[in-house]
Amino acid sequence: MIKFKQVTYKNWISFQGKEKLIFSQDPDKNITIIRGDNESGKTAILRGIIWCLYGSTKDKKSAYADHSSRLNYAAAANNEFTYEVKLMMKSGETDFIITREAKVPEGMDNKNVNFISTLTLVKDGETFSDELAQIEINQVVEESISRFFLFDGEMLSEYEELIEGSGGDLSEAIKKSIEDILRITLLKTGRDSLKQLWNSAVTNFNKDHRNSEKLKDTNKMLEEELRAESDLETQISELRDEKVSYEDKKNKIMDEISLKSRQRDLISESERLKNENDGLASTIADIEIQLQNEFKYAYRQILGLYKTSLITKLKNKEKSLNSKLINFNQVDIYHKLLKDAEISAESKLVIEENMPKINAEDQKQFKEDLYDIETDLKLLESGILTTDPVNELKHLTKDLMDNRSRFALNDSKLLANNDVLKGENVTRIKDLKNDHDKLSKKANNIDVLLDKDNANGLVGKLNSVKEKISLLRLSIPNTKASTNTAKVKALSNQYYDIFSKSVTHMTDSAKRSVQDEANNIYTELKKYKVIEVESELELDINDNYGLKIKNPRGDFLTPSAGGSQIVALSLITALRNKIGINAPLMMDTPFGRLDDKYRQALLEVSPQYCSQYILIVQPEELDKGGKLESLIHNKIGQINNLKRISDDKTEIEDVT
Amino acid sequence: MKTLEEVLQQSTKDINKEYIDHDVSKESLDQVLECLIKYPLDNATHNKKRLNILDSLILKESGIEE
Repeated sequence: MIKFKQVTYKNWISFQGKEKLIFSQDPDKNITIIRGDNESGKTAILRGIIWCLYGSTKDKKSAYADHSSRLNYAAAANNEFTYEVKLMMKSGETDFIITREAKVPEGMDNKNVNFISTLTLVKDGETFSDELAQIEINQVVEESISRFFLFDGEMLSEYEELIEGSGGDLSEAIKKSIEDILRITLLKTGRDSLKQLWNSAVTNFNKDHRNSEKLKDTNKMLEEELRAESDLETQISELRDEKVSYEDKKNKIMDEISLKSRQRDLISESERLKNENDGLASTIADIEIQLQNEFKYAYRQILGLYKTSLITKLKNKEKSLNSKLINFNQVDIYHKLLKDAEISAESKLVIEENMPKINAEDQKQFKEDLYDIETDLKLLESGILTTDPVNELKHLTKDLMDNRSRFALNDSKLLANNDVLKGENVTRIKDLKNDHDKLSKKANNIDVLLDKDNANGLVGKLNSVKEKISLLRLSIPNTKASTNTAKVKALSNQYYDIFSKSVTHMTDSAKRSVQDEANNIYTELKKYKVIEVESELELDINDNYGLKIKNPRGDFLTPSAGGSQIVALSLITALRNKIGINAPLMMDTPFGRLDDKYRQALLEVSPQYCSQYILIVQPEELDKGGKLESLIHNKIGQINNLKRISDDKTEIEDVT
Repeated sequence: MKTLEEVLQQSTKDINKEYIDHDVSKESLDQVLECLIKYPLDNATHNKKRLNILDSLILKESGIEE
């Protein structure tokens, strides 16, 4: 049985200086609660233990992938370039003190490359360092099984991926962990070696002239198929390795992109600012036009204050212009008379002398003036000019000022961002994204080739060859071996069959056993569901040890988000039990998508299946005296609160 | 859940029935297991060692080599 006693963090992520966390070791009160608000260092707790045990944080998002992100910022600001996690635990009766430290040697810069990590293990008083220490640790808690006792919400989501049984990388990794622990891998290794010996024995048999030609004919066909099988297996294995290398490269690219997150943020901020300024420029232009109109309007409005006298003046002016225009009309009549042929020349002379002397330009101007006066009079008399233009002007002017200052501010930010980015990071991130896309395409092409349902794919072809081999073996008569090559062929074949059959039996037995155990736990958990008729749903295991929910009619159901978590927890617990892990179960914020009933189920069922149940939660999720806390109150042996002191400092308070 | 040793014994019993020349014994199986435990890795050195040991075990068991 493995039990954690305490863990001490020094300058680790949120913890400046040393902070100690104690775990309950009382078997009757095996629950330890760690409460903390967002950003108080909850994730740092779990990742610190994983780092201490294995030297990596197993963080998919690479948030704590490098030394500078693990070293507490305040410590770094004080030029303390050392961080450390020290875990004290017990395995059976043996005491372990594991200390992993990373530091920059004196006189060197605080750069990732300058950090040196060391690992020290004191096992019952005997000290081991680095590699030897790691071997000792792995013998107690092998890294591949750590996923069954230390996990957070992110890891739980990975298990949900597993219950889909997609056979992806995670499924493969977990399958390997399970098979390593159950020693199925050992059987498979034996089977594969014996297969190679059998293949050679078939070749040697065919070369031996003392063997019956009739038997050799079938064996030659078998030899060809065995060779084809071996070639296909090699190709498949190479492609799988190639895919793994693509995935590694993709992860490294994502890490680099993530490290350039500051630049990436600046780029996206610059894009946002540019878009905003485009909009602001158009708004400013609109406001300027509105202001021009408003000024004209205001001018008329001011004139409106003198409305009555203005109307009188305008009407007089209108009258005078009209009388002038009447004169013009009379002149028009005179002009017509002058053009009349029936009127004598003497009379025309008299008319010319007496007609008013005016020009056509004046007439045009009078008409325009009259039109303006009539328009103004209409406006003044209609009462349209009634609103207060001053407020409108104030409002528009303020809008214009605001928009102009926002535009200027954005512009200065853009200039500053451009200075930082200088163009090169934009190109680099684009290149990285392109590389990532190319690698994804290559990996997808491999997936197509490895798809077992694709008859033209390599796995499809391999399955077909395997069928032929099976038929050929059945067609070979089981006669007593008379030559040495025949004896070796028969015996190597016999050994291969034994191991092959054992692999099948062991795998089937493991799957059945895990499925039964998962169903036992699932039955306990689903009792908490609020339904009137008892649930008849069951879990069904697949080749990758993934679980699916099946109804009594044999239909597979798609679980809800919370339901997936319950299935994932059933699977993890079943695997732990079957693999024989009696270790702490440490869960970081597991309540996320669970309703109250399932939270209750988790709290009441999980502690039965582990040496210690360590829960990292938000304070309000398990508040003192609250409904959920009261359910497990008597089983809580230790409570620690994470107290946020500043952006860079969290303290651990023992409030048991 | 059955142990690896139990599964191997049962498979040996079943498969021995299908072969007329020879019965694989528990002692021989133990030797195979010992070899696998000693050289479990999938690398050139372990693969070669495993093949050599298992090959000579089969040769001995079929009475070809002492």
